Amino acid sequence: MLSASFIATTATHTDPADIKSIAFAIICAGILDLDHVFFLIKDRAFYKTHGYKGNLHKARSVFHELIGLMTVGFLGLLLSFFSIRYAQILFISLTIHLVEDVIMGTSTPFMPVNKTEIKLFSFTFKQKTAIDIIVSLIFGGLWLLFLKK
Amino acid sequence: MALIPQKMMISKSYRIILNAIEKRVRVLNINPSIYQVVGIIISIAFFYKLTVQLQIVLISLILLLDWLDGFTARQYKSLTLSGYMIDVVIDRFSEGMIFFSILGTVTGNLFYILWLCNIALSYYSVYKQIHISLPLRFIYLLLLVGTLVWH
Repeated sequence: MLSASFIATTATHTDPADIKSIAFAIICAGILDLDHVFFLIKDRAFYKTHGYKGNLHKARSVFHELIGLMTVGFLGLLLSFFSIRYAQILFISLTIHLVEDVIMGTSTPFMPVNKTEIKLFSFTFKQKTAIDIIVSLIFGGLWLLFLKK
Repeated sequence: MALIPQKMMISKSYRIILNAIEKRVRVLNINPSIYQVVGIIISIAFFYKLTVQLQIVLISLILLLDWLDGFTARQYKSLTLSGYMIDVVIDRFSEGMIFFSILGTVTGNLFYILWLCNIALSYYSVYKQIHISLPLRFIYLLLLVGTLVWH
């Protein structure tokens, strides 16, 4: 989430004084994860029995899959007619969030047409956290470099 | 057992050339997803303003990596449905990043709408088990090269 909003702010050259854009980037990068809350509450019996580890990918809606990318695409297109800047922030934040989830975890990209699960790598939670920190540091650093200009 | 969607006749013409190359060349036996991830990282660069020349270089590199991913899977007999899905999903992400960067221009809008159609086609491919996809990045690459030559 942090890395997604950092990439969005660096790519759109967002000024640190532009609180609205920064807030919009953070909201867009994180809003997708709200579906986890819904499924974690709905399927709480399952998670009580099986635990959260290795099962969290089941607690998400189709908007975390390819349909989500398509929706983001449409939203980005619609928003671009009003504000290309906000369209960029929305598209970049959400796309980076989705792509990070696909790369780092397990997903079912073709839900509801096909329920085959895909997994690019077998990262542990620690490794995932380390990667997210590294990406955030890189793009956070890039943003700071931009701010110094 | 779920099958990998088959490619259409039209793609078999250029596959002849690629197959001939693949028979003569050896690639590293690594997880093909590594090529995909490198390709997606390169695609992120399109969110930043790039020159036409740089776009040509990066798209060529992305297409090369996309081919290497499939090539590795074919050479080491590790073609699977999930591998096919990873390839398609990463391709759609990569196209989205590239074409969003040119949104607002006539060409950009056209490619962007075609990209949205390509996502729908990906679903159709998996559902009907026949691979249908528009080679948008390749067409855009040709367009960029054409623009560069013209000027």
